[in-house]
Amino acid sequence: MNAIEIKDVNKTLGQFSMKDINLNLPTGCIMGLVGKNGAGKTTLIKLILGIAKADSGTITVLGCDNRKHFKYTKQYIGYVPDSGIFDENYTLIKINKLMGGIYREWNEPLFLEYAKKFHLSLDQKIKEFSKGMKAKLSIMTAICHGAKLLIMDEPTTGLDPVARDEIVNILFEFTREEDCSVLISSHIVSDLEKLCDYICLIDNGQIQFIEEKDEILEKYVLCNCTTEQYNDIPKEAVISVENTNYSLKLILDKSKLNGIDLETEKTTLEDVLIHMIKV
Amino acid sequence: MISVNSILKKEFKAILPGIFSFLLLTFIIFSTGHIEQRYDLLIFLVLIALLPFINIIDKDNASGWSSFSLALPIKRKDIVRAKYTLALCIALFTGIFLVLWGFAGSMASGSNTEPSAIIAVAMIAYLTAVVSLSISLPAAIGMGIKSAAAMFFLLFTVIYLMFTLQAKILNPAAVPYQGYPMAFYISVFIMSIAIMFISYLVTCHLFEKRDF
Repeated sequence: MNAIEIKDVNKTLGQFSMKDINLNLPTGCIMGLVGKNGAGKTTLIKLILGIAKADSGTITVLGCDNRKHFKYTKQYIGYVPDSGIFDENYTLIKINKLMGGIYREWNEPLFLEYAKKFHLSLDQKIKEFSKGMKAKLSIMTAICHGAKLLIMDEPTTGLDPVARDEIVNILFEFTREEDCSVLISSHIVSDLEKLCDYICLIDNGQIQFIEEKDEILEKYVLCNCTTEQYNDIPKEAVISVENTNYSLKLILDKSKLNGIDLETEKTTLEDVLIHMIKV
Repeated sequence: MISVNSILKKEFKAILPGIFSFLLLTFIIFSTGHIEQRYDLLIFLVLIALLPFINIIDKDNASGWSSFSLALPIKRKDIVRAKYTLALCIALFTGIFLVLWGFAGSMASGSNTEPSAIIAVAMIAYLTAVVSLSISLPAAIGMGIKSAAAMFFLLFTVIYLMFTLQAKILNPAAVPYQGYPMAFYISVFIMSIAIMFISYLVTCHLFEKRDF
């Protein structure tokens, strides 16, 4: 079963439009959503959550239509937005009470356990929290109601490497359960490389590709070559070219090299994605 | 239903500091001798009671709650309903408060003001609250116009009522709607609920269609 199934979704928001969006996130997997600012990542997340409404197409979340069975689906979706959620004067005690009233399966002991683990004081006001503490609070709030699907909109942006690493660990812990899935939008590709099973590249309101991360790393290679060597390479294999002072830096599709003998090296997800976004 | 109650509780807790400020202000006005001579002050008090309520919407937008709440397992119309329940409670609170104020003032000053005059003033204040909220809430919640627009409608309505009725209100003998039978006040009350209900339906419609 897929945790998220999006079929032929279109949405126009003023000048911006999302076109023919099709996406499947298999249950138990983590998918990274990447793209430039304004590419449509947040809009896609809002469409999945029902915060924005699709003009056409269907969105199925955890096996149910996200509009018809929104109460059921939202019980099991944990949402971590890019900004804060609560009034800055709230304390963890208040949040615990509020969320306990909203979610049927609110897990208070787990919430308190996370608070202890992350050194978040129960009676401290949110405005006194650091950015990292606020991010952890958003994530623990999203997890502690028995969520089966976590949807995160740039949760690690602006955080120091230690805080980012802690958040990555929380997500690893969350996905240890077989039926828990994550859709995470982020600009920090190194985090996605650690976490994701699938990568979805979105640009200008359209999905460019959805591929398994390992396949991407397997499929593309990096090559530094001279102009003469470049001329011998089949052009369909060239994904991108960067002209440095001494040589050409290429990202190549390994399967289309037709056995040409070239000195290549493994590429990183960041290299591939940056070049694809540029193209 | 549990989740709706939680949202309602959250809204009530958010409004509490505003209510305390309102009570403090009325106490100051009361203790400085402005008991019943300045009915325009009473209308001003209604505005003071309403501002914190509108401020909640602004605070929710700023904190990110407005958008986040739509990802919770709550119907959009339930979010609107919580806001309207609170608005109605505030309007009723100001009305009842002004009736008590009127009687307390009348007894303290020994002026023996007609009960119907006191009820009429309270009713004007209550209607001011209901009308201004019924106009400003669809703007603030449904169309997403920020608090500035809501404040504008609110202030416009309240000030309009203040100035047009002030001449009559300043003279207790000329309080409009004074001396009518109780059935009249009851029908006005029912009418006010109807106004708010229509406003609620409009807001629900706008809120359902709105993208965040």
